[in-house]
Amino acid sequence: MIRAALSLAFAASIALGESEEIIYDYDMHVAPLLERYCVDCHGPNKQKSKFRVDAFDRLMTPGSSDEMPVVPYAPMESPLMEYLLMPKSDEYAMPPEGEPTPTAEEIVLISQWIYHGATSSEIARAKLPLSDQLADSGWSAVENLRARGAIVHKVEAVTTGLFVDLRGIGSMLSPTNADHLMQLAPRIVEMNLSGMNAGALSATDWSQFGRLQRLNLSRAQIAADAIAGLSRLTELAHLNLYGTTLDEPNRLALTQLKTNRLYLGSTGLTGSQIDDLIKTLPDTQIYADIDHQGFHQITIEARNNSTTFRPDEPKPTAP
Amino acid sequence: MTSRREFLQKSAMGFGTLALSGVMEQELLASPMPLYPKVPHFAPRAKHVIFLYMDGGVSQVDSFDPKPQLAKEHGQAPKFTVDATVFNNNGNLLKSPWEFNRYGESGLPVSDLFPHIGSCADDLCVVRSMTAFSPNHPNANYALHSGHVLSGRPSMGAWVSYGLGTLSQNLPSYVVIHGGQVPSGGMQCFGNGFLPANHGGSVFLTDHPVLNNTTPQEDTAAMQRRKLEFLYEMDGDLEARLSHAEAIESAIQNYELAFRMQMEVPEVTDISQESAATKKLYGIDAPYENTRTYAAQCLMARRLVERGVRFVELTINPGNGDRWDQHTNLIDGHQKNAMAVDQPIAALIKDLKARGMLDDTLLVFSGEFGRTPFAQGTNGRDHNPQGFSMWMAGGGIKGGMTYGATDEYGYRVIENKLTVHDLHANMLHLMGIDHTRLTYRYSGRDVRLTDVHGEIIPEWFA
Repeated sequence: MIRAALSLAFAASIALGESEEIIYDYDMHVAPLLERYCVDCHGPNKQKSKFRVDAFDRLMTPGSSDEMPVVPYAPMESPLMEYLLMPKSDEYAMPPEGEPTPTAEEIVLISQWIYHGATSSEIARAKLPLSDQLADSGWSAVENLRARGAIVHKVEAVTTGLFVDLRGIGSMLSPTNADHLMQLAPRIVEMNLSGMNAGALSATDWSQFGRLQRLNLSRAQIAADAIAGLSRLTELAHLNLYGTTLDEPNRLALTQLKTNRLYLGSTGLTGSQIDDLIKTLPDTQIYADIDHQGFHQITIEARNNSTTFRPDEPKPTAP
Repeated sequence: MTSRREFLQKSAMGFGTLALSGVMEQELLASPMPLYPKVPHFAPRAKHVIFLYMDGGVSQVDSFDPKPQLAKEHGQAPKFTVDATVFNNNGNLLKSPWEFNRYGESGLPVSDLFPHIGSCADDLCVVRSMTAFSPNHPNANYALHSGHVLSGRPSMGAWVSYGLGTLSQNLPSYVVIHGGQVPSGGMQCFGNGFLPANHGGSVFLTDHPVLNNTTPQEDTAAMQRRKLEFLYEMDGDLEARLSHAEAIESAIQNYELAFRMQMEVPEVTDISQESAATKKLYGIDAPYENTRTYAAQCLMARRLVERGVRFVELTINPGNGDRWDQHTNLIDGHQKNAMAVDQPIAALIKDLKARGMLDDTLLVFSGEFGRTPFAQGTNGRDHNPQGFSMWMAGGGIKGGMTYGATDEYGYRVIENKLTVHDLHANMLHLMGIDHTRLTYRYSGRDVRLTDVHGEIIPEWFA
C-alpha cells in the first residue's frame, strides 16, 4: 500500500501536476539540446576540457575545472550558464564562435531547468528501491523468484537494470518460474542460468531481454531455437555457453550473434567449426577449450630444461 | 513465543539496519540472511576475488621486476644508501640466479621461476611499485590483509563480505583454503575484526573433511535439528534481554550457515569429480607434493567461486623449506615455493578463462613485502618493504601491462609509489564498491578498510 502511494506520488511529480505547472526534466528538456549543440566536443568522441555532457551524471560532474558545472536552483551561479551567455568573442564562450548555438528560448529553457532544481526523472526513478520501480506484477515476480532461492537485485545503486541469478531455485527453470522471469525480462542486464535446464525459454522469450548484456548459460540446457532468439539482442556483449551442448540449429545460429565475447569450450563444436566461426565473426572474441597439449609442453620443458624445477637433482650453484 | 524465523528476521533487521545503511536496499534489510547479496555502489567488473597470498615475501628482482644492473654490479658493495634491515647482515649486490624471458604479445618479462605464469603474461597487470608499512612479517601481514599494521582489524575478505554479501547461501562468503602454512601473525589475518562474525574467513583444509566442525555428531538429522532449535530458543531469550546483541545474532546466523554447509561443503570440495584432463592441468598428479596440494587448493577455489563464494584466499604449503622468506639459500627456497604454485596458478587462470569466469573473477598475487637486491650473508635476501611487485589478473584488469617502477637495483620505488590501501581501494572498486563509502561505525567513528587513503588507478582497468 505504501509502495503504491509512493509510485503514485512519483508519477504525479513527473507528469503535469495538479497546478498544471511545467516540471522541467533533464531527459525531456535538456538532453536534446546538449545532444544537438554540445556532445560532439563533450561526449564519447571528444572530451574537451575533460568534460562530458552526454548523460545526466556527467553533466553534473566537473571536467578539468573544480567547479560544479550546474548549481541546482541557481542558474546565475552555474558555470554552464555563464559559458552559454558569454559574448562569442570571448574564448571561453560555448559553443565557440562559428558553431551552431542554442536560441535564446533554448537557453532560457536550460536556465529554467536549473532554477527548478536541475533534476532528472530517469535518475530519480533509478534511485528508487526496486519495489518502487516495478509495477505490482513485476514486484510479485521478484518476490516469487526470491522466495524460491533466486537472487534478484539492481545491478548498481542507481539504475533500473536488474541482476538475476537463478541457480538457487534448483536445476530446472519451471514454466511457472519462467513466467515470473519473463515479467522482468526487459529490465534484466545480467543473468546467470549456469547448470540449469532453461529449455522453457524459447526464441520468442529470449528476444524480449532487450537490455541483457551478460548471460551465463554454461553447462545449461537450452531450447533448440535459443541462440536464434539471443541473436536478436543487440546489447548482449558476453555470452557464456561453456559446457552447454549445442545442437545443429543452435550451432548454425551462432553466426548471427552480436556479442563481443563468446565462450564455446566443451560445447561439442569441433576445432574446425570454431575456426570457421572465428572467421565469420571477426569482431567477437571467441574462447574455446584450453590447449592442454601446449600447457603440458611448458611443464615438460620446465622440468627438463630449466634450472628451476629440478628439486631432486643437483642445485645450480649460487652466483 | 517468537518463532525461529521471526527471530531470525528480527535479528537480521537489528544489526543489518545499523551496519549497512547506505549500502543495501531497505527491502534486502528485511532478508533473514545477512549474507544475502547487496546492491553494489556501481556496476561491478569483478564478482569474486581469489587472493593468492605469497606468504613470506617473494623477491621482486627474481620474479617480475628484472634488474640487469644487478648482474653488472654483482658482488660489489651497493653504491646506494642501504637502510637498516631486519637482520642487518647486509652483503654485496646479488644478481638474480634466474633468467628472465619475455612472454606473450605484450612481451612482459617473467623469470624462469614462473614459466607457467609467464605463459599467462597477457592477462597479468604487474605492479612494480608496491611498498609495505612494516619490514616485519606479522605487521606487514596484518597491513596486507586489513590495511593496518596492528592485529584485530577486519580482513579485506571480511569487508567484501560485509559490503556485498555472497551469491551462495550454503557457503560462507569468505573462505581461506589453507595449505598449512600459518602466516606469521596468525590466522587472525583472516578475521572479521570488529565486523559481525558472519564475515570472518572460514578456513577449509585440503584433506577431507575440509571443515571438521560441520560433521554432525548426532545420529540423525532430526536430532541435530532439534538441538539447534533449542539453541535458537535459548539464544533468542538471551538476545531479548540484552540491548546490544550483535555477537549473539552473528552466532545464530553462523549456526544456521553451518547447518546448510553440511550439505554443500563435501560436494563443492570434492575435486575428484573433475575430469582427468582438468586434474592434470592443475598438477594434481605432479611429482612434487606441494604442487599437488596447491593444485587442489586452486581447483577448490575455482569450484567455490563457481558456486558464488565472494572471496577465496589461498595460503601456501609448509615443507618448501620455508615460506617465501629466503634469508639464506635463495635458490633452493624460492625454487621450491615457485614450483609449488606456478603450474596450479596458471591452470587456474586458463581454466577460469575457458569457462568464462575470468572476466568476473579478480586474481591477486602478492606477498607482504619484497626482498633486498643485496645479499643477506652470501646467498639470501632480507625483507624489503621499500619496493616490491604484485600482480592482478581477470576481474576487469587490463592484461599484459606493468605499472610503476623501482630504481635500477629494484630497491626503492621511484615511480607511482603505492601502498596496500591503494590495492584495497582498487579491489573494492572493481567489485563495485566505493571504498570511501564502505564504512562501519566502530570506536566512535566510521571506519574504512582504506582508512583515509586509497587512490583509484584507472590505467589498471580493461
